[in-house]
Amino acid sequence: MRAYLTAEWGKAVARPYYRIYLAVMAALAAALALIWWWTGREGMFQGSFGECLSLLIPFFSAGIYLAVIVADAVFSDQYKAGTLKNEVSYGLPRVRIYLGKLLTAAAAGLLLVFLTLLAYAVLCRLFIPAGPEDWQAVQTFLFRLLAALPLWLGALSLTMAAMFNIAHTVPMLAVVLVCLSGLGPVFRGLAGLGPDWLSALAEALYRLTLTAPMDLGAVSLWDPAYLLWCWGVGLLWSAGSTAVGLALFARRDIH
Amino acid sequence: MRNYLTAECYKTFRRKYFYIVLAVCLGLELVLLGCCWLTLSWGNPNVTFSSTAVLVPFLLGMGLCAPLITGDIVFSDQYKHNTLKNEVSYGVPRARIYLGKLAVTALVSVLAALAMLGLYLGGCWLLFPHAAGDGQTWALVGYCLAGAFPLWLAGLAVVNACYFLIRSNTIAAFTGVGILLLVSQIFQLLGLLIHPVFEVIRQFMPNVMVDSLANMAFQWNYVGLCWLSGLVWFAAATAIGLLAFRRKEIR
Repeated sequence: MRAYLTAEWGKAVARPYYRIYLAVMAALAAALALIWWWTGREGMFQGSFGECLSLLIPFFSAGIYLAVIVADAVFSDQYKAGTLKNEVSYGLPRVRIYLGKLLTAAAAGLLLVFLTLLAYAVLCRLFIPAGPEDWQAVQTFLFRLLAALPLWLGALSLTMAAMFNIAHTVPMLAVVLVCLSGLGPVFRGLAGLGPDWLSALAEALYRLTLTAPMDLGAVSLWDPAYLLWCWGVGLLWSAGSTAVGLALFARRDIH
Repeated sequence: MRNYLTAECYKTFRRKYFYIVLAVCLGLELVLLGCCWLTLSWGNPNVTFSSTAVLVPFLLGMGLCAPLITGDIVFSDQYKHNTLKNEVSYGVPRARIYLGKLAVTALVSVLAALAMLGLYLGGCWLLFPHAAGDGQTWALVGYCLAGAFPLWLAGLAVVNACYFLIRSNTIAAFTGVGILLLVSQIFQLLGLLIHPVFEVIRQFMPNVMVDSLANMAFQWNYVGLCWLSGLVWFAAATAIGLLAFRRKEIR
């Protein structure tokens, strides 16, 4: 497994795909920091460094979709290129292939998150003046980040499960995006109509979607119930989609 | 060109992809109609033809992103399968390839739209009770479709350009969604922070216009504006896609 992980990691980060992705994310982070600095000069934005961090928190829900691209950087159309067949016929156990790629994708995603947020934080710290509420804002930022990580992992696991089992890219993306962004609105819509038991069920299912925890705007700092909710939902999706994806992949006929 | 179109249509309508996608979409519509009918049978007084058909003017944005799938039905990863290289090296002019696939994608999209709208509106008409406001609802649906059609074509042109120019299918799809849905959000932010001109430009982006149609009911000059904006987007996206495709090296 260690050798497999080394191989997958080397393949993932050596290709231009991941490096371009990293560069684009860093550039976007820098651009946002620059916008705050520029509008601060004009006087329209009166915020401090801490507020710049807080303003990034609503963007965390975009991380769910960025996780899909991370999974693509690691899995990369192996059905189209026929390379998955090579790995399977070489004799590598299917569990190792699946979990190896999943762990590599998770590591690649974490590195991407770390470098992007580091770039943003450093640039903001350099260009934006510090304020009195900064330490509170930093804590809020780290707290919301800690809550977002399992949800991003859940999206990544779902995408990997879909990529291993649906050979065509666009239908695969359609399934993933419907699960990520379609289920929430559907459950919320169902919660509005019909009898009470349906509303309660729909409400409960809504709370289990990956986007629901991040829809909340203000959360009290270090609220353990919120962390538990996020980690519970994230791990549920990660474990569930990995179990289903692995089970289907193990029985799949790879032409 | 006629032969090329015939060939593309043959290829598209022989494969099962289009029919599977259509079946899934129509199936989901039947589920939606079924759920509404179920709440009606449980005594919900709010379910009428008007209240269900009026969903169409608010879901026009779906038609904007549908070309991601219909475009894939026609284009279908030709970079990965290297079949685009075959067409180009055979000597088919690149403009014919580009515009031919654009035309067939438009045809596929229109057929799918007709099927889905037909089933949904027909189902609503047959299943749910009628009231005095029905004529008004039909007028609203007609108004919104009249305004949305050119904007959907604009989305089609953008997505087609993405599929032709970007080798990776996933990135092409994400870029298409980014241009169609995200750029307007960025412009909104820039409009607030930097200069109001961004907000003005934003008002002419397809997804913003498509979402505003329901609220602009019966102002036909807004529909005119939609047609103008849609055609400009269509022309620009097709021009950029075509010019870049002609210079692109197909390996």
